[in-house]
Amino acid sequence: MNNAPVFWALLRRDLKIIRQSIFSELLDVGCLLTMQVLVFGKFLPLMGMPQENIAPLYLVSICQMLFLLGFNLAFNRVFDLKFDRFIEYHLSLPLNKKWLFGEYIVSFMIKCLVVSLPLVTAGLFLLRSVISLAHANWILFFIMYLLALLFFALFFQFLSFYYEFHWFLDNVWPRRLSPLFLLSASFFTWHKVYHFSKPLGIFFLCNPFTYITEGFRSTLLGGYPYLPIVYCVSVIALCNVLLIRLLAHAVKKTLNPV
Amino acid sequence: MSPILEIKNISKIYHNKNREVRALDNVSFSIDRGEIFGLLGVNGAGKTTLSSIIATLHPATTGDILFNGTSIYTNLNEYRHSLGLCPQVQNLDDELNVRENLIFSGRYFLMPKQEIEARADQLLHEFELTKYATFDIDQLSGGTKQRLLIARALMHRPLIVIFDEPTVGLDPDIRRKLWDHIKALKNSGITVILTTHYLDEAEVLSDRVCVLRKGKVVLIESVAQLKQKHQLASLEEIFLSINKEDGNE
Repeated sequence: MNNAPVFWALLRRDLKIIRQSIFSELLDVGCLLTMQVLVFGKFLPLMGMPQENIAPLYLVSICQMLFLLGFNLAFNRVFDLKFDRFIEYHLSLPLNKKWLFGEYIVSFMIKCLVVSLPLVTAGLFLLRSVISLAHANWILFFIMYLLALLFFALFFQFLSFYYEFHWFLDNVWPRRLSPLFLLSASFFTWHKVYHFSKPLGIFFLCNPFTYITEGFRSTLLGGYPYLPIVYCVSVIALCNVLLIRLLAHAVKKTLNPV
Repeated sequence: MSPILEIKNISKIYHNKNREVRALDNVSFSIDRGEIFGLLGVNGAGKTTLSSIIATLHPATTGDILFNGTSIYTNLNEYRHSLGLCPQVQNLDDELNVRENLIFSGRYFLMPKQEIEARADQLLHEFELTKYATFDIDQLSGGTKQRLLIARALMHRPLIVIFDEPTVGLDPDIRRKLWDHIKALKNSGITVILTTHYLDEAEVLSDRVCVLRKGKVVLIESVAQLKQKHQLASLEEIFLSINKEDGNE
């Protein structure tokens, strides 16, 4: 009964908060953008990095930003679960819990989109001398981007509900997030890893982060030598389904809501 | 008087590291319309567990709760519209100012647009919050936050309000003021469930008290009846005497 209007009221509140902080967020984006343009557009070419290596590396910085936004979300959530318990107010609202957690996910995706999309588009425009977008498929890129946002939203919500406050603070970076970032096709494309070592390449295929970075490369820089976009989209979509199940389990474990 | 809530055989079992913890054990009682019902007990007695089950934050392991004769679980959202929750932790929305906290609460409970603003202003006035209307939450004192928490719980005109330790950590004069607000709720026909371990508070406010111990109901009676029965002057003395009788000194 009447879940949609309550969902919309919660979303309106979140949009208001996003509006309030948009100037500060865009300022942060501006700082990041300036550094990216300097590093990827000037320093790396001057230091002799081949142009074909710059674009794949730049696209990883988009994932890195989503990673950091996701971590902020997760940190706020574990803090709330431990201290503020604001979530209990939400649990008392006349709203089905699936809708409530759906709102959390949508809200995170909107915030990330608002913050990251200007950075990505401005970055790609300003770095057009070193990043060729002649083979870019923008529709597929946007689909991949939304899937990646959903992945990060679900993944970080899952972490925040699954791990207890102190474990999260002390251990989640070294034991969960760093391996996910470092043991993926972040610094080298997957094909380079695979040519260097087949077992390592296959191992990296077990990491969803590989499909996100390769998916961005494949859609913006052209299909080869990156993983086919069909694989990337399918695996991330599958991971998202799995994460929904894991998140439901983690929420039940931590909150046990009605 | 007809009961507004009937708690029927509620049990709550937690599993903590392969150990079974029975937080509530077959608890049953009913709460009358318009009364202040005090839930008492020492720490760990099960008061907060019970109030959080009544507030539908967590499910019971077994048992049911009837609201006006119908299980709350048949239409949770409808029941939640009749319920106001004032939790122990002051969980206000610190991204919004004082007035916005009330406005958004009205929206979450789907109040008519034209009523929300008027109701928010009325509550700001009633709870002496008008001068703080545009303040951020972290600019407020503990007592002011608590008043706002009560105002937020009342925003959508609930029939039942649950207070979980509403005066913990507050100065005596602020406690007294909050007691007046809680009494005023009763006078306006709202049913109040008051969880507290301050026995003076329960004595002053409650029409009936329910004492819980280790998840079980030890007694349910009016304060006046208890005083007469035990021939003691205060609820605190009665509470201590019951504990002695049960060998829990």
